Amino acid sequence: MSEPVTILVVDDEPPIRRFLRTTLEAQGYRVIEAETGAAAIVDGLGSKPDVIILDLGLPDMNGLEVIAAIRATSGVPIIVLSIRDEERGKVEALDLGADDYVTKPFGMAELIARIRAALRHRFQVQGELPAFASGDLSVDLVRRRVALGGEEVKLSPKEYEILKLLVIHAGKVLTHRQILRQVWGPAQENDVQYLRVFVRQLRQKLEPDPARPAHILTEPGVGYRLNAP
Amino acid sequence: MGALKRPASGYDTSISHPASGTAHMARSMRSAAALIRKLSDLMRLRTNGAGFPARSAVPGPGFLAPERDTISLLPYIASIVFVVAALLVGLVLQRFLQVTNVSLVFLVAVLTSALTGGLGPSLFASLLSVLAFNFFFLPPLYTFTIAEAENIVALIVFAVVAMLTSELAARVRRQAVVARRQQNTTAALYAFSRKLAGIGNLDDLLWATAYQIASMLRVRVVLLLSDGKDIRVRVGYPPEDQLSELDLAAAHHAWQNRRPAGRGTDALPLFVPLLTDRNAIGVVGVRCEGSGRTLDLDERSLLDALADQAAIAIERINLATAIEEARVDAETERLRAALLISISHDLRTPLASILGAATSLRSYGRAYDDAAREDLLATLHEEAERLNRYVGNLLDMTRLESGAVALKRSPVDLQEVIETALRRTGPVLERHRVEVQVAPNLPILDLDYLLLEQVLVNLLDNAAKYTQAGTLVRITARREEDLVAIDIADEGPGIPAGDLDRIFDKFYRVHDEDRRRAGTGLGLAICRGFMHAMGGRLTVQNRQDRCGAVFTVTLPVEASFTHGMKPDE
Repeated sequence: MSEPVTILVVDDEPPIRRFLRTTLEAQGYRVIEAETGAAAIVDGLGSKPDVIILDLGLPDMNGLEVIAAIRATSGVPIIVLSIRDEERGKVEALDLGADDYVTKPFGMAELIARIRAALRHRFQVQGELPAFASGDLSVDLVRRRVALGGEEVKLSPKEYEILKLLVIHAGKVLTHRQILRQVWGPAQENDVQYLRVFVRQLRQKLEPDPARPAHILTEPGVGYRLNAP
Repeated sequence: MGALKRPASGYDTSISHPASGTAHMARSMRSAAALIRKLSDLMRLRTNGAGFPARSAVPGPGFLAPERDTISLLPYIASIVFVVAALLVGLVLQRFLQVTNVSLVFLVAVLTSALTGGLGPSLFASLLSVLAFNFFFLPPLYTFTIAEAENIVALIVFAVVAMLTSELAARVRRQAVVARRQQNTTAALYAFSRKLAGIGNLDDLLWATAYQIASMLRVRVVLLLSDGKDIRVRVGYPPEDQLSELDLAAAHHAWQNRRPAGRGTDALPLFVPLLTDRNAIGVVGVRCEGSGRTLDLDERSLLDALADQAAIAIERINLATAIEEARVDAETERLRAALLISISHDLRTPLASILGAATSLRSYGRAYDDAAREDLLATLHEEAERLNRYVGNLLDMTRLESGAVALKRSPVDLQEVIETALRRTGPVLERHRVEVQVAPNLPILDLDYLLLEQVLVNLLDNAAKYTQAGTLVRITARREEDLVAIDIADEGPGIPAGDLDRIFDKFYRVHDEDRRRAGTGLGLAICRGFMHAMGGRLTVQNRQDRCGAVFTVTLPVEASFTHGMKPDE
């Protein structure tokens, strides 16, 4: 990519915008800032950033409304900054079209990982199925081969579908509903318990210590995330 | 013979000096009737039946028996019996023992009649005796002739004896009745006093008092208590009684002037202030049922005695309440002060490190090598995380204290909660060994994910803080019938036996000689509070197999989420 990746940072707190700008620019990104929801929508649609980092607690409007407004016409990845204990806000944001979230206070490394994951999916060439490798786990979506430490692992069809979805969105959170809808269809999108059982089976097969998974991580109250390097 | 005297009330409560002779005689007849009733009860004579009027319909133990106005026939019949008996004895004495002066035998009949029947029957008996004596013993025999002065003398003597004896007997009876009544009153007052002593609650006390007064005196009662500025009705017996404006004014008058007001009739209730040596704490109002009835002197003094007892008991409860409130206030103050000190310390300590490290880097950073810079930055990072945890603890504690723990229930997989709790405490447990054993097929529980996660995080945090690096922290989750238990076991020094219960108190920290472990002292209190909110329990024990502590979280398995598991498609 010749053009630097542009990130729109939306937060009403100057110190937060400051340290984000410093860090992101040092990472090679170009940063534009917005302080309010209205400005976010204008910049989000006008300046065509590659990623939007959006604080949910804006002074003039609900962050969820910003997401809805942007999603109406643009698929730009949105990462929301939420406050801890605000479970509902996160899930709603994701349901409205946000791609991921970090909880304040957050570590910078975590945010960078989210940004990369969001961009990875964005810049994927349509139709190209990525190969994934992280730690012991390697997944080849073309050949439909999953291996743990070099040894092939046999997965049931549904298990594979779930893993495939996670791999395609490696590093990004997927809500229960998103997974259920993709793998089973819209009719099943509320059968969270059902999904849990399958994820548990997956972990049994893929995780050296299923109780402390290193690959398929639980996002409490939200869904799952495949840990990506 | 003093009945209970009330100081400065101006009422003469003695009853042995009545006003007039007629009243006296009427009184004695009434008392006699009452005594006969009691005596006949004692002698187990059947008294239900003709001659005795029905008991009054007013409820209560009828301590002061209603006085009868009708004159019953039984004592007169008894007199006849006595005289006839005396006659027979006299005849026998005369016939077989040649006793000539048998009049004394009739005296016995008159005396007996006076003792048991009172004045009327005894006069009747004396008349009968004279006639009998005249008829059977005085010549000419079998006639009613009063021939000599002897007879008249005998008649007069008998009559005088009859009157004196019956008066004496009546007096004794009266005194016996009074003594009996007083004994009953005293016993009832004593019982009331004991009952009051056992009541610790003001409402119960007022109710008991109202009921006691109503039943002992057969009146309608209302109790008003002062709240410092005014008095208002607190309880009444019967409960539906209302006080009119006028009555309230009278009550107020009684309270303010600390003197009784009113009369106690149906139309105009009597209000007696409840006095302690400090002030008037209320007023008791009584209203007699039935037109025209008021309380007699006995009843007044009884009312005064009951009022005194009630006043003392009420004041006792008021004082006890005041003491308790003062104690609670002092305790609240203490906790508040401790809280402020603790918060201040626990927030400022990491801040001190953060500011220290940051300003050090800013002011002198140029001179530092990578290692020094990295060290300071690590301190910045760690202390900021610590501050974050403390703030979280404080918020949790505030939520618990203010009752704002709103549970957000959802189906929770215990394995996932343990997973995320371990992720959050990853950095803290970095230098420990961690082992996880989750039993398969644990039921999915319906509870608040974040609350349970926080409990586990706090427990894991403790395990890391209070045990040595390199030791093992083991988490197990298992099912026990209708409970699910999560154990967190460490290999630290364990908890001193005496502290096992107290470690869940706010701000409690086990004292460590080595160095004081940092911490708000709130972690376990929060855990317990959250567990309680979820309907579960948190307990701690020292390990049996080696030294170390085991914290156990138990949760009930209520609605299990069993899903129809379709075979893998």
